[in-house]
Amino acid sequence: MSDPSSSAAAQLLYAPNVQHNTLTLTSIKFISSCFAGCVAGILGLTNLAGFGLFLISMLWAAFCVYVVCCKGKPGKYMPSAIGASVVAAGTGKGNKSGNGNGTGLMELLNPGTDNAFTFVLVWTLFYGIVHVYD
Amino acid sequence: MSSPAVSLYLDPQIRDWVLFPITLVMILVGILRHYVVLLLQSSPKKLPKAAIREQRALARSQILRATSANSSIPPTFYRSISIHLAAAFDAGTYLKDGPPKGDAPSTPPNPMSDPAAMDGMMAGMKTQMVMMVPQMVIMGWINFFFQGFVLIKLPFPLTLGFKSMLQRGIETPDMDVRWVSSLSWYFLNFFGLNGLYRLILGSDNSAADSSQTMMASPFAGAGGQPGQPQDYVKLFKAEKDNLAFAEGTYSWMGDDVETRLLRKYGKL
Repeated sequence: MSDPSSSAAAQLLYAPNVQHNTLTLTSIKFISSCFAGCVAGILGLTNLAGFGLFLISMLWAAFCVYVVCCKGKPGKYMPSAIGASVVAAGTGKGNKSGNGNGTGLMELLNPGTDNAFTFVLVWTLFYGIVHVYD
Repeated sequence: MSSPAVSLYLDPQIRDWVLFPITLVMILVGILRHYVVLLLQSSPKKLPKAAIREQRALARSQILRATSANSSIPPTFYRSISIHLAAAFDAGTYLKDGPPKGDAPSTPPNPMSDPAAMDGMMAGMKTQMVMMVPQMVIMGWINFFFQGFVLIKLPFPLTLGFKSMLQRGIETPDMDVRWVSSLSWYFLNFFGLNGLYRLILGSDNSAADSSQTMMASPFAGAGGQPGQPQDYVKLFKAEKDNLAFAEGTYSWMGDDVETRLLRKYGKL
């Protein structure tokens, strides 16, 4: 027991709550990527401008979640990948830092492939409706 | 980045009778598939008491050693539980078929002969079929009715390699790759609707992971069903060793608690 706080933090994550947080985060990302697609399509952005809008909107969504939902401490609400694997493997001896800063950032920032495809779909749909047809 | 010279004028009827129907049909078929899979799933069979005891003993030991580095169980109790479990694992008390007799080599049961495992495999196959068939049907439908014209323009450029795939059936060699046929719109829907299914059907729905299973080999999922027989004799032996290791890392969270408390309030 070299670092009591870290191992304690790894065990204090309650799996159903973590799952619920992850689900909420996925929904937020999905909705924000949908709206980003709508905006990109209606504005008629093409090529890199559209993907840039997607990137900016995801960053903005992550920032909002960071400030509003996590109150600046994402590590308290979602485990980073290494923390999750430690909880799943049940060893309880992960090197997860328990200070609550910077641990959950990757989860906030990663948009996920599904949402990227959703963005492309909605973008194409609205671009087609607004700018290609009539 | 092509020149903005060419712009096609697409009939709004195409939008109303091809673009929207394909999207709507794909969403509805996804929802339908979810409920069909729910209907097909047979309720899990009741396990006999001995089998549950076997699994629970393993789970109990895993919980014990997962928390051993910062355990809330005092040392005496921890040791007694650990020793009791280790002895039981060693003797094979919790094994479903009783302690192993003699030292006959235990052979894992053949999954084909075990009816329970067979049922699990059949359920997996059924689920896979429900995943595959609607995709085939929709693809056939689109290929039959909506082939041979341009449906929509992608807002981003693609390389010429996509031309043969995305403009199949449209014999215009000079057209920009960004104009694509209805089959490409189908694929866009196919990959893009997963998030929507997750939102409206919940996280563990059976519609969303269709593309992932399609990407993998269609029958790969059938092999790794949870009904896989496990050799509990070996598992128990490994668990016994793990318990012994965990005992080495054990420490009680209440160690020196009085000193820590006094130090926290500055009395020491």
